[in-house]
Amino acid sequence: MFKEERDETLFDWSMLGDINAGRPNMGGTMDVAVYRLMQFTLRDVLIKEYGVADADRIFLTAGKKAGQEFYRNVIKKCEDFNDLAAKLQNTLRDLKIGIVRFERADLDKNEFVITVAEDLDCSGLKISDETICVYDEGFLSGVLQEFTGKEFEVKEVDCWCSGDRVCRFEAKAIN
Amino acid sequence: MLEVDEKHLDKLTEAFYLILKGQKVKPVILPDDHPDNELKQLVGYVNRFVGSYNDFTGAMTSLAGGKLDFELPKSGMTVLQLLKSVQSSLRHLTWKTQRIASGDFEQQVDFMGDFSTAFNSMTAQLKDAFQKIEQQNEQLQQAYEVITQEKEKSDRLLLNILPVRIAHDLKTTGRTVPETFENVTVFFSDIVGFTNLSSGLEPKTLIDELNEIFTAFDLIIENNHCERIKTIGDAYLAVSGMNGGHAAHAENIVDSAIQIIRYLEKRNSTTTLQWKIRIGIHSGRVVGGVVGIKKYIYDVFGDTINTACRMEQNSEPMKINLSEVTYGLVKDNYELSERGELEVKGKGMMKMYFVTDRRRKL
Repeated sequence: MFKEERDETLFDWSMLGDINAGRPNMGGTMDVAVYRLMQFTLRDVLIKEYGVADADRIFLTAGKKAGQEFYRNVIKKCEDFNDLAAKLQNTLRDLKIGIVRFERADLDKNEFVITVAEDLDCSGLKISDETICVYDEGFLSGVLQEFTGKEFEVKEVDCWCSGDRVCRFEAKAIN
Repeated sequence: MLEVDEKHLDKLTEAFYLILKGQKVKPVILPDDHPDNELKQLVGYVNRFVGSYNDFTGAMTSLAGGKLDFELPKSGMTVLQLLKSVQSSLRHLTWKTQRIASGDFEQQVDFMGDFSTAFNSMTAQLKDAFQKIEQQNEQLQQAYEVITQEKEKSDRLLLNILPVRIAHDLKTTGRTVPETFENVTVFFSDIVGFTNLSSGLEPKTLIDELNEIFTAFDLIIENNHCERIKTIGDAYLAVSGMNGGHAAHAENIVDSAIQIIRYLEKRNSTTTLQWKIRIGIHSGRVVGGVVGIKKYIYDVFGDTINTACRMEQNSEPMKINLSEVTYGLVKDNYELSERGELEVKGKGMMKMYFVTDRRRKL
């Protein structure tokens, strides 16, 4: 189930397990540092094994898968774009992932500008002149693809790590 | 010991002087052959600071003018990073405001301190006010529908007692003026022996009978493009030619009269009560107008009405008596029998004709 070889992704929401049953005392939350410990050690090893470009591609693809599953299982059906914006903002806030804010939305062109403040991945990291929220890029493209049915390219143009205080993403539909 | 040219120190002093005076500052330029020493390093940092300061000033100028689409370069200066945060928050508030303006009151602003509280409170109040307006609109719509239904009822009632044109004049202008109609045919009927017949009936039975009979008359009259003016007890007065001056006014009335006689004959064949009427018809000039200012009654006046009444009085049970004038208008198309001259009260001798049916075309 978890370790079998695969050509297609086999992820299913049920793989997350019954956390309440499994962690009756520890509960469903943990320290952000632990999440980052896993993310950055994983990134470290992936870069060492495959290089920066492939590591980024893996994070992007995994983030996209996560975004699609998150839409299907957490956000669920949205009546319209305003509904999606409100639900995305509320769920990411309630799950303490980050503060999502839409800055611009062109529904005719399917182009959006979204910021994430207090981002789980990067807020508080040292300034390094790098945009590092590749997983978030994938996550947002996955959510938007599930909602619109169109493939999205999401690019992080500002990042805490590059000294911008907020992570700003520009999203546009491909074709 | 570092040797510094005084004029280069003056340039650095001037740069900060201009910043403090709120003026635009240009980078400090050292000669190309200036030694690579601590002064050159200081000038480099001052120029980077001046560049960031100019970027900040430009962005703040845009912000002060309400423009949020300015670009800020990446910088390690906290003041520029915070300005980027402010820009992001304001863009988000603008976007949220647009959503709310489009009627989506479910939008909330998170983690913006006093802004969030004020904005979310405003949205909640707008939602509340909007819902109240919607409720009021719904109530208004319901009231409008009730008023419309009541108006339709009152219009129907008005049309029951007044001709269409007169009802329209009264509704739009509140008044109507009497009119003269040159070519009108008048129908007058009366029930034979009504006093005797009605004296033996319960009032309700009598009213029910008259209601049924006159309702049938109304339908026949309307179907033949004629107009009922009024009933007076057992008398029934109708005209043709007043509503738009119908050319076949005489034939319309005669057709109505024939159909009314047939209706009564058929009815009498199945009922105990035997109602018989006399009908008189005359054609000529009529004056029509509304009588009264509260209980409107549209009435017709003139010698033509009196003559039609006389024709009825000189008619016979279940017969249709025409004046000579009406005879002249319909003689080619009906089965008629001449009755000769008969004495008419107040008018002398007048020729009269019975009409029995439309002439069948060969």
